[in-house]
Amino acid sequence: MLLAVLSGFLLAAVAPWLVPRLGAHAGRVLALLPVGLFLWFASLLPAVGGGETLLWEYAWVPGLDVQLGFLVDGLSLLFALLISGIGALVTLYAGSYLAGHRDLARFFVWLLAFMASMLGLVLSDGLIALFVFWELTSITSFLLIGFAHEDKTARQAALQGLFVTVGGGLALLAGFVLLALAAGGWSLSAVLDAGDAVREHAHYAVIAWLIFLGAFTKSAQVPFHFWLPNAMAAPTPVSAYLHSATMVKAGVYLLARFQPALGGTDLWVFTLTLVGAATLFTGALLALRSSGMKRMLAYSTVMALGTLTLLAGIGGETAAIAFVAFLLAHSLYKGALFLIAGVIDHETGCREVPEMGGFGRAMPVSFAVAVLAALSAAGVMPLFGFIAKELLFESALGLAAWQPVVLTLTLAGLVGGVAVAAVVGLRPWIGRPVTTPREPHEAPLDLLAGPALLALLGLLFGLLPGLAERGLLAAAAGAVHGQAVTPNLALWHGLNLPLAMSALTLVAGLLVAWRWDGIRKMLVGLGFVERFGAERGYDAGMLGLVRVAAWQTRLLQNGHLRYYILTTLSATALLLVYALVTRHAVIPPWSSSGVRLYEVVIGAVVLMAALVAVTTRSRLGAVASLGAAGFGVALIYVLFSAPDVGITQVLIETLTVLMLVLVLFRLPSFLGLTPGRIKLRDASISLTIGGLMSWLLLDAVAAHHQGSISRYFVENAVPAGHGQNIVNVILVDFRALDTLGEIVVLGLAAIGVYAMIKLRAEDRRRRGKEEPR
Amino acid sequence: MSFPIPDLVPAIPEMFVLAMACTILVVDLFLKDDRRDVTYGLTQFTLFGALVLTWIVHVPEARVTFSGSFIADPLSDTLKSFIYVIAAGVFLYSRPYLKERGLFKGEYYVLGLFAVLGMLVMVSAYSFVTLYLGLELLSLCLYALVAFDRDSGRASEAAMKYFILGALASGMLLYGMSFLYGLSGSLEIPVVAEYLIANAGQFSVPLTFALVFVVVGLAFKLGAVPFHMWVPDVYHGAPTPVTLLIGSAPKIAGFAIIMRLLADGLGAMHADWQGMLVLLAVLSLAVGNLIAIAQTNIKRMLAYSTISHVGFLLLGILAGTQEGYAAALFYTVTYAIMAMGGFGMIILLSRQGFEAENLDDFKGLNERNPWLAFMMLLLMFSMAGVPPTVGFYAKLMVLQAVVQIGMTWLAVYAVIFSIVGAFYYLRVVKLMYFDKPADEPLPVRGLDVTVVMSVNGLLMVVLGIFPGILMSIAALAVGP
Amino acid sequence: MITLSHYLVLGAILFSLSVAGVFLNRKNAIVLLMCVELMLLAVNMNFIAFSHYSGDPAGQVFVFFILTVAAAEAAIGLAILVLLFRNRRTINVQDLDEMKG
Repeated sequence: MLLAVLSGFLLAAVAPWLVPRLGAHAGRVLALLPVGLFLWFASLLPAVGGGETLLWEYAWVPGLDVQLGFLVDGLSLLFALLISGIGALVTLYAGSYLAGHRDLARFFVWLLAFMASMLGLVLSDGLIALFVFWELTSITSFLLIGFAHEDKTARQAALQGLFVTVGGGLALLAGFVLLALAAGGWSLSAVLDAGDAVREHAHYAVIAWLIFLGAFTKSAQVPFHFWLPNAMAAPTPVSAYLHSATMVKAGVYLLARFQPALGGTDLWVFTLTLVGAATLFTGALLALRSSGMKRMLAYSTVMALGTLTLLAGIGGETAAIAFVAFLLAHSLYKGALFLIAGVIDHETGCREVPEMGGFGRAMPVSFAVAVLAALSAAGVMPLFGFIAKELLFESALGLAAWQPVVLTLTLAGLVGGVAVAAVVGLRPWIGRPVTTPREPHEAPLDLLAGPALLALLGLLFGLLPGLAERGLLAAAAGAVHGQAVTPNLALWHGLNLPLAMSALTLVAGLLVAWRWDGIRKMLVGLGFVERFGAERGYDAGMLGLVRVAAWQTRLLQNGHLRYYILTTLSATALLLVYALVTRHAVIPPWSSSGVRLYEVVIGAVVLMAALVAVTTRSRLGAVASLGAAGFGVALIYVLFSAPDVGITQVLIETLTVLMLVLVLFRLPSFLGLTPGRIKLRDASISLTIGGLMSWLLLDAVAAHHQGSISRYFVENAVPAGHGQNIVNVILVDFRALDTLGEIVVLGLAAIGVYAMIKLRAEDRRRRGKEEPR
Repeated sequence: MSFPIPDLVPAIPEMFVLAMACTILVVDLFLKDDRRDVTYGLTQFTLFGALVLTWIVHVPEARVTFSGSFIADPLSDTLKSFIYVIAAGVFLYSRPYLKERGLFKGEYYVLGLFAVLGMLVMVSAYSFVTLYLGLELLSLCLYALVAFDRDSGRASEAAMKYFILGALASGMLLYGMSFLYGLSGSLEIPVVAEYLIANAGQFSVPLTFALVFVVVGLAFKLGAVPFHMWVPDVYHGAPTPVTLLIGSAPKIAGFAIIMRLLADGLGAMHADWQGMLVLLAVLSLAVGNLIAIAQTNIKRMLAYSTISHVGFLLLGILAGTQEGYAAALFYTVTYAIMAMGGFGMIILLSRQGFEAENLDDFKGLNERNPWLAFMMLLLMFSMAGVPPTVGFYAKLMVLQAVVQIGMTWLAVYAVIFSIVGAFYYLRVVKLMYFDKPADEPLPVRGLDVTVVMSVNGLLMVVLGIFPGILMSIAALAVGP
Repeated sequence: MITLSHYLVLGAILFSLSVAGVFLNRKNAIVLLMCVELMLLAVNMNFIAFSHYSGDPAGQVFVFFILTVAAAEAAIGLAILVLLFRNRRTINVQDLDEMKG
């Protein structure tokens, strides 16, 4: 099993060496691998059809307890067969379609790697492995889209598609982590067994939404449908393979896979049916609006994916059968139609449907194949598409809630689907031959084999539904439903409501197809789709993101070092406040001391004075308020029984004010260097940090209070200093050296100030002399 | 009075690096400019020799020496090995760049080796003294290296900013340490840890201050928001080889000091610092990822990406569980390798007069050199966390650790911003694969650089497919 | 008696002064360097005081290291400053804004 999954990667690794040596036969030889895989998977059919679930396990990441397990039940086998079968046809087709291309080898590398990842995705048992393969398909598909790109829109589309799917994938990862936690294991088997526990888990809604997000982005559901048509820049075989048959179905695979574990809740049914129906309708509308053949097919694929989501949402036995039947039918006819679109492009050079016509005569086989596939797509008896459509109506009728809305959208969407099938299946072939870039001629066998086989299978399964049902579809539907089902596929169920609805859509669809040119113009005229469409939403979202980013950058990273320091400091202060507040019910250390009224008054005066000193524009005002603050402090000294210090303070204060007045009188007035807002900001940060540091200080002082120093001075003033005035003793005795230093500093400062003033004065005098000249 | 000689064996790798760095300093003096490759060779030999020595003296048990200030344990030996390897890669990538610009001087290698020595000391630090000395040795070398291109105004501005902010952060860290010392009476981390465990639950303002200052200092060194301001400017302004050096190996050393200081030393206060780290991580993820989108310069973009990765790293640490620490270690190592590849690619594509540091310079790389483009694609996917690259497992492990401690909202938040982050990584890929190339010819690079770049890029996938190896190393290093 | 508290207060005041200097200065990068040195001195004050009052010499040893590192730091800082002046012809803190975004 491991070899089966990895063989694609291995072949991809040697492809660059192999392809040039094989020359024109490269496609045919490389196709042998998927053929072999197809046969091998087919050999598992009897066992799986009998209701068995096969499991392979290999140790992979012991650290995370991750097993590389592969699980084969009906659903994964159906997918594996589609992937390897259509893979074989596409490889064959691509060998001819891209013959002689410069980078053919690289193309095959990515194509084979993609196939292997896709197989891994549907076969994985472990959630981690599933996710790994999930993202691998995104990456390889991106590289395949990037393989051939011409115009600018394609380039944008590539990023868009990749971002949407990878982003959705990451959401899925989160969903998986939570899911594994809820289910108690990392394997699908564990999750499927723990359905009840998961549904009742507290995080059920989150899990479901995250998984929806992953599935919707991958399977191009509304509102993420826009990336798929834009991905049509890829070469046609890629579009046929990735964007209709396999990769985009990964999302619905996931939904079907988790249906037994997560499904059945109101959230599940409501979301999926509505989103599915809305996608179905939107896809049909946009398909009719387009003119490029591949684009039309892409939107009709969106439609089909909507249908599958709808069916996964409805749940129950009928819906499960309808799901697998529709899945098979769609892969067959849509693959065929895409490949035919490629044939037309290859042989005539035309891509736009309105420019096509009358190719039927030159390419009769392609014509026949196209008609066959289109009939299946339109759901016409006796093709397999008809059976699938009947089942779809039957399930939709069984819906309990929101039935009218869902049914209306479904009916309207399917009318569009029929019309698209008719347009694509008939329009290029009948009518007057038109002039084309290349002379139309029949395609070689390699190009035709794929579509023809797929279309014929659609007919075969339609005529003999038991063929598909017995071995495969029953088991697959059983896996989707969670228990064994007994489908009874038949072309004719008698005259009933689904048949009537089927007929109705057919007639209405043909009418639309007949009048398509007019309807298309009308739809194009309705510009609202572009103005309010999801794609615009995506673009606006991206633009918004970029704008927010730019705005934030200007705000946060303006290059000023000062600003960086400011941020650092304020963040530190905030963290400090946070730490102090969260952990402890804080009692500030200063709250409990009995403060008296006059102390408060003096404190207020000092604070006011300080504030005025800082904010005032006038020099004298500043000096005066500074003096006021000083005198306030002196008063506090007096009140706290230190009159001598108080007197010293008063003296010094008076002196300072006088000196300052003298000095400042000669200096220019203050300049408003900084705007008020910045001042306020700086002030608040300073106050916060200062306050916090003071708190630390107060705490430190309170914690280590071991008597005050003043007692020492009081006791030693007379015996050691021989002085009665303690202040004097301290100044000239105990702290004599300090005092000397202070005097020196003051003297130096005074000289400096004097020199400055003198210099300025001389400067002015000199300028004054020069001025008259 | 006798001085017992400490057991020198555990520190042999450090002593070897020190001796060799001094030797190279002297040898380089006697070399002519055209023989400068000798210096380079000696440097690589030093790193290789240190790697070998580390594992020769390795024993499974932890050994403490130099009066309890130096430890050699599985964690330190593992981290050191990664540091050697990454530093060797850095020197290898840088050589052609330096040669072309006339910067191929001995100073780069000597300063680089001393920076490596600083990291080694940080990794093995078991007391505040060694921790601070290692940190400063690293920082001082990096300050000097940023200003290494002496004629670049941008570089000297970046160096000035880095220096001022770095010194401020060191000061805060030290101030915090001084209170821890005062309270516990010891500079040794295990003693401090014991003191805190014994006095758990007791409130004291100085302790809170100490914790906050330590966290701020560490957050600054790692570059977590809002202490990230220096990161973009320094990454942008420094010569690319220096950016390469700053952006890769020091993250491992940063992780080491976080482990030693927060997890070991302040483990008893986990509840307190967890909240702060949540705050830092939340901000880092948002700011890093959002601002990166607006960048047109890839060095700046990678700088912001670093910031967002630091957010993820913090998520692993704040979990406070063994799984969380192992996840953080895994993330750090992975990130260092990714960053080495990313900046290495810039060096590879640049040449004299053309720095290849704008996003537009990567346009159409796929057409010019598909192999290098593919390597860059792997690196970008790994940074975005897309499997099968190793970046995915790094994110997964961290998310799991966060979910396990019940912080589901944080995991979902991290994922949302990873999606935002995926946008700018994928944009680089898109530029390489879809846009038309400018007519700049690619410089021809030597075989060694190309081979190492290939190994670097392919490592992303190999480790991504077999993450078990690195995971068990991480789990082993963090311990039971 | 001078107690541990007094030294801590002194250390905190020095630390605050240095922070204020770093924060409020917007003209001269040399003042920034001086403030950073002052910050280290504040830390040293703490270490010495703690070391003295707890009778553990390790703190004083640490101070020796810090002093040495501070000297190295000052040397590198001044070197960068000289370089900056040579390249930009200014050491005005406010002019350091070429790199942003």
